[in-house]
Amino acid sequence: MARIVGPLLVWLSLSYLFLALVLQTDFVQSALGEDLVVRTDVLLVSSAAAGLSGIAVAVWGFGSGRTEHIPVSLPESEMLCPTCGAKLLRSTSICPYCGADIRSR
Amino acid sequence: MSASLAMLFETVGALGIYSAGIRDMDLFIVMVAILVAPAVEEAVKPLGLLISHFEMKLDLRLTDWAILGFLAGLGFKILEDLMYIFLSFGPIYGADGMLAGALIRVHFPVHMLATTISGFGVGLWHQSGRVTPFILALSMAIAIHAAFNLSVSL
Repeated sequence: MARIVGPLLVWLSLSYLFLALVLQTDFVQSALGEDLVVRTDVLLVSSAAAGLSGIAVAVWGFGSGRTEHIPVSLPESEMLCPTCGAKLLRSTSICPYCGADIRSR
Repeated sequence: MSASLAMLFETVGALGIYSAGIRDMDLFIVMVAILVAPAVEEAVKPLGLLISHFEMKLDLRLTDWAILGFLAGLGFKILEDLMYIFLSFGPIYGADGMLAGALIRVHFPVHMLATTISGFGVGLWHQSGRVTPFILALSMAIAIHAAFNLSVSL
């Protein structure tokens, strides 16, 4: 998940920066008029926070060769298909060998 | 489907805040944006994933659940942005306002970010059989969404 969330946080950081720039343009200010409140300081702080956290998460996610191993998830136990006796993962719903519906049992 | 439920429950939530005595419009909008909207939207966005978990019992990798969450967030975001641009910015500010609204809104990935996390939580729930990881992931998604809404509401 970190490999997806990290880049998204960096994207969020860039979006904050883009928003800070867009709100300064004459076009947006004239289009939205007095309703527009520009808080560049908040946007820049938010951008920095998102960017730093995104880089940290991305480095953690892409580093050390992590792939599908997620320590917090429990290893799946195995079971035998009640129809053909094949060894299956517990979360299996339909036996890939004989097609038996495991859910209904 | 998720968007319809979000509109319904956000309306209920907004009425709840109004009935609590909040009459200042700026404070009302901020409280809806920070308290009601994140909780409601993050709860309904993974609806399709929850259906996949409970009814279809899909056997997917955790990464797949996270990607499904990303796509659910993307779909919700597209619909929400279109509604804001055409139903809010357009009637109030006209065509230029619609373009300005698009420039302000469409590039933010918050919905995809939050639902990626809650989708990952659904995956952990599916694999472990425990709901606690999903609740933690959902709480994180709500917190991220609320923090973003606060940052752009100030």
